[in-house]
Amino acid sequence: MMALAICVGCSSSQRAQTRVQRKPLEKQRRDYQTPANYSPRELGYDRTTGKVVTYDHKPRVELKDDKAGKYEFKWIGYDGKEKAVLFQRGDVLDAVVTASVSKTSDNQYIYSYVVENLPTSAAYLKRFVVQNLATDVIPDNGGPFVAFKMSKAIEQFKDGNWLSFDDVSDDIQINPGQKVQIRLRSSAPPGLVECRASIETVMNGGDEEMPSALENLLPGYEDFPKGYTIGPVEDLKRFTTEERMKYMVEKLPQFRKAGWITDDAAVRYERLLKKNQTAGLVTSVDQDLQSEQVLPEFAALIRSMVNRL
Amino acid sequence: MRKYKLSFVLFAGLFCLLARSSGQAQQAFGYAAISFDEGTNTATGYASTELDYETAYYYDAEVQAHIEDEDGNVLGSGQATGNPSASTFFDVVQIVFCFRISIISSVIVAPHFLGCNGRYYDIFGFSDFWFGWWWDFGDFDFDRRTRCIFGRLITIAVIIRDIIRCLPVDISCSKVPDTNQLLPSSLRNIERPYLTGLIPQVNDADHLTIACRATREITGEPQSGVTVRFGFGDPPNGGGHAQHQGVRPQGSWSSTVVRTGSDGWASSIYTAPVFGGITQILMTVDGDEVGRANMETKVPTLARLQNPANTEGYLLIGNTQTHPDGHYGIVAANNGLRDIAADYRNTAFPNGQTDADKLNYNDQSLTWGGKFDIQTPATWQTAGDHDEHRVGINCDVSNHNVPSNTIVVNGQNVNRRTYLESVFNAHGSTRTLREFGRNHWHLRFEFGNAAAATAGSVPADGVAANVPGAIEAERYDTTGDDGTAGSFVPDNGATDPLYNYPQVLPIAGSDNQSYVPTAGGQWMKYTVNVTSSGSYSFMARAGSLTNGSTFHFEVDGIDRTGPMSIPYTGSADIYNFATINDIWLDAGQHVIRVVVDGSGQALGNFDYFTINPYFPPQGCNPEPWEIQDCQNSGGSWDYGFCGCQYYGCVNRVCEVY
Repeated sequence: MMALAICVGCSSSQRAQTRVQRKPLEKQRRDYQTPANYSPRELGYDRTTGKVVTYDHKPRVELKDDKAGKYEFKWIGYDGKEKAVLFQRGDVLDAVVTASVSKTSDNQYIYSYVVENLPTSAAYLKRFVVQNLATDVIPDNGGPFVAFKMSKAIEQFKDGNWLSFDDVSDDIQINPGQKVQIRLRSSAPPGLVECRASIETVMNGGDEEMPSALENLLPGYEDFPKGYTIGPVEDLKRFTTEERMKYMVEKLPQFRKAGWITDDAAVRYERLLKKNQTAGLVTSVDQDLQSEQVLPEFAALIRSMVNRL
Repeated sequence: MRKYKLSFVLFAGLFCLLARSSGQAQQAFGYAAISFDEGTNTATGYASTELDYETAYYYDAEVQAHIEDEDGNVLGSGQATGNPSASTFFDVVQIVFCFRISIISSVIVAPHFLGCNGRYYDIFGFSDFWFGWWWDFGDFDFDRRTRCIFGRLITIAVIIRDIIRCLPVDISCSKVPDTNQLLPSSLRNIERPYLTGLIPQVNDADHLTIACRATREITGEPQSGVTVRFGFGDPPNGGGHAQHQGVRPQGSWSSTVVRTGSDGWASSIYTAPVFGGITQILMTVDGDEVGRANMETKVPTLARLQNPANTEGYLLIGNTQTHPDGHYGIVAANNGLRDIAADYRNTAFPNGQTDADKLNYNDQSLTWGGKFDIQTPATWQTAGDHDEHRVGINCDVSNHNVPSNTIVVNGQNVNRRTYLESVFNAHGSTRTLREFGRNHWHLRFEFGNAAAATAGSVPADGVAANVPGAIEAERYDTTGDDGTAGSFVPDNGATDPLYNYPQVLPIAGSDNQSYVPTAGGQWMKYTVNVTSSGSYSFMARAGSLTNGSTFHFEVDGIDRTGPMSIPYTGSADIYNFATINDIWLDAGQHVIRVVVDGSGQALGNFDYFTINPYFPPQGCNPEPWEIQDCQNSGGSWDYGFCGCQYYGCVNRVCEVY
C-alpha cells in the first residue's frame, strides 16, 4: 500500500508543469449539420384561397472537406434549381500569438505581435484583431496588413478599443506555416488584453439569398479564435506601484490559463506581488524566463510594473 | 246556466320524412290566439305553426286546433298542413253563456323560436327544447268580463312574448395581450433576438388573441351560442408599400366564425401578415360591429438612414414607385453604414471623392420592416429575393463602382474590393455575401445582440413551447447564435453528419407522429416559456426495449429530477409514461434539457413530454354542477380520476393505450 501511495505521488509529480508552453488561440468547435427541423419556404399566395403556398426547399449541409472545414450549404431555389454557398468553419485556423513590447526614449511603447499561422491550419490568416485600453494607439501601417478600427457596436469588440489588422493585398497571403508581424505604438504601458484572429469570412453567395434554416447556422464574430496577449492599458499609467502589483495578482489566473506561467511560478509570484517585492520580482522573472517558467509576455508585464522596461 | 268549456288545442304535428337526428336542434314555433266579440258573442280562434328552413326540409308542418267547452264539447275546430307553415282559423258562435273558460290543452309543439341568433337570446330558453315539448297554458277560470277579454290577454301575451323573447346581449372584445403592435410573421430565428423586448408584453410575437364575451344585458350572465365573426375592416395600408397589384395580405385568423361557449367566450388568434403596415381587424355579430382595431405590423426601432450630406461617402439608391423608401435599419446598422462610407472615403480617396465614387446603398428594409417584395410588378409576393431584408440588419451595397483594382491605403497597395470587405467586417458585417451576379454585396450586420447571447439554443421554429403544455420530442432546439447547441448525439461511428442530430422517425402506425430514438449520453434542449410560477409534474411518454435505462430532466443546467426510468415496454413501438411530481418552476423562459443517462445505443424512444401543474393529492369533492354537467354530456363522474369519465377519457381528453 505504501509503495502504491509513493508511486501515485511520483506519477502526480511527474505530471506537474515544469515549463511554460505557449497555447494557440482558443477556439470552439462548431458543427454544421443539415437542419433536422425547418419550416417550408414560402412561395407566394394562392390567389383564390389567400393562403400561403409553400414548398420544401430541402436545406442541407454537405461536408466537402473535413480537414479544411468546408461545407456546401445547399437548398432548392425559388426557380426549382439547386443553390449552393461554400462555407468554411472558423475553427480551422490554428494560430499562435507572440507579443513583445519595448519602450522608446520618448516614453512610447512599441508593441510587436507575431501571429503564426500554424501548419495545422486549413486556411490562410485573414486578420488579427487586438484589444487596447488606451486612447493614443497608432497602428504601424508599414507591415503587410492594414489596420481597421472595429466598431464598438459589435458585442465581441465592445470593451475597450480593438484594431483589426487585415490582409487586403493581392500579393500577400499568410498561409499555414507562415508568420506575420504587426506593430503599434502607444504611451500606455502593457497590460493584459484580448486578441482574436480569423480566416476569410466573406462568402460567395448564390443567386438568391440563403433560406433561414441555413442562414441561422452562420456564425458571426464569435467564430473567431481568441486568446490573450499584452497591449496598451492606459490605466496603468496612473497606477501606484501597489496598484500595479494588485493588478498583476488579479490577472494571475488568466496568465495561467493563457499558459504564460507555470503553476509553481504562479504561486511564487503571487507571494512576491502581494509583498510588493519589486527587486525580487525582477530577479525572479529574469531567471524564470531563462528556465522557461514564464513567457516573455509575463516578463514584460513584470518589468513594466516595476518600471524596468 | 250552461257552462262552456272553451278549449283551444293546437297541435303542430310534424310528419317525419326522415328520422330526426337527436344531435340536431331543429326549430319550430307556433302562434295561438283567441278573440271574443261581445257584440256577436263570437269567439275566433287562430292557430298556426311554422318550421325553420332546415326543419322544413325534412318535415311538413301540421296544425290542429279546436275549442271545447268545459264539458268537452267541441265548439269549433280547424286543421291545416303546409311547408314551412300551416294555419287554421275558425269562429265559434253561441258561447255567450259560458261562465268558465278552461284551456285544458293549449299546446304549442316544439316552441323553438327563430330570430334569436346572433346578438339576442331566447329569454324562455325555448330554443333548447326538443320536439315533443309543449307549452301548456293551463286551466283558467274567468268570469264573463275576464272571459271576454281573454282573447286580448292571449294576444297581448303573444305580443309580449314576441317582444321580450329576444333581449340584447352585450358583447365586448379584447386583445390578449393588449397591444396594437405585432411583428411581421415569418421572421427568421436569427432576427428574432434583435427584437426581443422591443414590443411591450409581446416580446417577439407576431400574433395575439382576440377574445369576445357575450353576456346577458340584464343579468350579466354569460350567453352561449352567439356567433362571432372575425374578419377585416378597412383595407390595409402603409408599411412602405405603394401601388402594388393584387390583393394585399392582411394576416390570418385561426378561426373566422366562432360561437360563444357556455362561458360566453369566443376567441380567435390573429397572426400578422409578413408585410409591415396597418391592418384593421373587425369583429361582427349578425353584421353588427362589436369590435375593431387597427393593428400595426411593424418592426419597432427602425430608423431611416439619413440622406447623406455632400461630404459623406454614400448615396441612397433603389427607391421605386412601389417601394418609395427602402432605407430603414436598426440604429446600429445605420451607424455602421455611415462609418463604412466614411472609412472608405477617407482612406481610399485621400484626394477627394466624386459622387460617382461614393458607395451606393441599395435596399435595406422598408419603413416598418417585414417582407420586402421587390418583384416587378409588385404583387405582394412572399417569395423571391430580399428574404432577409425584414428587420433592418441588411443592406445591399452595389459593386458597380467598386472595381477590383489596386489602390494605395496608408502607403500600402491593397485591392479595393478586398479592402472594402474588411471595412464591412470592421463595422459589423463579417459574414458578408458576395452576390456579384446581382452586382452587390449583401451586408448582414451581426452585432452579437446580448439577448441572442443569453438565449442560447434556439427553440424549434423560433417559438418557445408553452408550459403548461406538451412538447413533442422532435421539437428540440436548434443551434443558437452563440454556438450553444440545441441537441447532442454521441458519436456512433456513422459518417453521415445527419446522424449527429437526434433522428426524428415516424411512430409505427401513426405516420403523422414522430419519436426521437436515443442513445446513452444523448440530450435534447427545449426552450420553454413558463406562464406562471408553481409546482409542476414532468412526464415523458417513452418506451424501451431494455430494462433499467434512465434519463433525467434539467432546468437551466441543473438536474431537477434525478434518474427516471425509461418505461420498459419490451418494444420500441410501445409507449408508457414516466412521471415525476412537484418540480418548482419560476415563470419566464427556461431551457429544459432531457438527458439520457449512461451509454450505449437504442436506450429508449421518446414521443413527447408534458409539463403540467402539480396538485397535491386530496379528496375528490366535485361541485354538484360538475357532476351534472358530466352526466348531461354523456359521461359519469370518476372519483378515482376526479374527473368526468368518457369511455376511457378524462375530462374529454382521451388517451389511446
